[in-house]
Amino acid sequence: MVRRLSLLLPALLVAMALPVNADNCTLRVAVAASFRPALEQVLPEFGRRHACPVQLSSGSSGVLYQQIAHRAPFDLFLSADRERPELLEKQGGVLGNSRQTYALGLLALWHPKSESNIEQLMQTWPDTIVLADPRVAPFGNAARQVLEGLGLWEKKQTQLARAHNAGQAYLMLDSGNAQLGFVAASQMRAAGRTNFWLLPQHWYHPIEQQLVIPIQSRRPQKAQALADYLRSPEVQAQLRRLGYGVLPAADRGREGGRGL
Amino acid sequence: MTITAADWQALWLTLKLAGLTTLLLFVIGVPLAWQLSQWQSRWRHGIEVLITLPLVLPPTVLGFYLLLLFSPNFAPGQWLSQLFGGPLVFSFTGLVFASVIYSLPFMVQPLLAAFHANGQRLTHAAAALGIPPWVALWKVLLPASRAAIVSACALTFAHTLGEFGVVLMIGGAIPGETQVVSIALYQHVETMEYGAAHRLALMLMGLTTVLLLVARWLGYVLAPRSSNAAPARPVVGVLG
Repeated sequence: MVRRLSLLLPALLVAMALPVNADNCTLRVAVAASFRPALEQVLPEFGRRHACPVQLSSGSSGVLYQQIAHRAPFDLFLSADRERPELLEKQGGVLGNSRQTYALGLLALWHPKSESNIEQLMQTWPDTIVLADPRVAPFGNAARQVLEGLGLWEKKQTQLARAHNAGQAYLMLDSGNAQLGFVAASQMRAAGRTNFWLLPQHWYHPIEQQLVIPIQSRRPQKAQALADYLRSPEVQAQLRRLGYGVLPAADRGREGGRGL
Repeated sequence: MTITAADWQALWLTLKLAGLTTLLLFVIGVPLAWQLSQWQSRWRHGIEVLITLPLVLPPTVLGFYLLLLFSPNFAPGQWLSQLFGGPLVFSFTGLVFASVIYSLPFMVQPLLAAFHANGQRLTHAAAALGIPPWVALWKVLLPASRAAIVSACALTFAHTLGEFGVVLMIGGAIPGETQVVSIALYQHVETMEYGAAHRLALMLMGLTTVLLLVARWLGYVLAPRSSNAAPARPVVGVLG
């Protein structure tokens, strides 16, 4: 009995360690956490048109990039920035011309008063200002550009609290730990909040969110179908209602020649 | 091997945080563990489980609830703000407060184990000699539990050094105030500065290794030796 068990146990462990065999139909999508709610809104319609289920894994774009660069088995990568898909492309980790912009993030200012003028409010604000970390998060980088444009970046250094990403910045404000800060318009829309300013888009570089089909994708056609669906006019109209911007007409290869 | 000024600052801040947390937890943990070891009530088990909770709760979740606790929207946050002379969120004080909760089990558990092992016997003997309980704790029990104290302090210190999730939620990554090594390290990785990340990680690991080795040695040296007992082995081992 004991001997049989001693054989059975390793066999069980091995069986548990084997990857769950996803049917050869499921589409695995790695999506930046901030875009997941919007994606979940538009997926059901895609599901009605295509029989196969879509399996979402969300996390920070940086972490997902790491995993995909190390050949994690994803069929499609929706990043919250442009930089990481570009990097994957440079490293030869994506299929041909799959890099495309699928959404445009809009920067919003969460603010307590509705009547004041933004510039004045920022100038005289005495307390903490929350933003996503400019070094790590696209929305943080845009917030930095806004502050620099207003000539406040250096001046307000000691008042800035850096959240790890836009989601966490929202949490810091939502929990009442700060009253003023930079968030994504999509977060405010999703929460049904109205106490925010949409910052003028010429105050910061466009927050382009790009997608790529990783080289290891097992279902590239299906991934491309989802990419096309996300860029379709109907979904783009939906995304605008959810707090995203209008895609630029020429959304690819602004720097002319494309990488590999 | 270049380490930036910001990294040094983060390292120094981390050491300060871990040191202060260990000191505070020692002051809190000794009476707490002693009280628990003396206590015969059924409630004791409930309290012991409560003390263990920070081990179970994912750090980011703990951080999330601290964020709510610190919020000026609610009474506890307002009260804490008055008590500490300012909001705890985005401040070094707040990190110390959080670390004390986060590392509590690492201080209390080893002490509890030691006090349970010797406590009754020694305090009874001391009581028979007419020594008051607090004096017995100070003069008899603590010296007898030296090895456990070294273990508890080393574990607490090391655990706080690597604290990440909690700080991520309540810190705000302010250089010199809340940007500790773990945060700086994560930022290096996120911004793909892998060289800088490796150097900082190496320093942190080297520091921790040296610290734990010293603690082991101290525990060994300080372990009570009697003619009929083998020296107690310190329990510095698993890191949280």
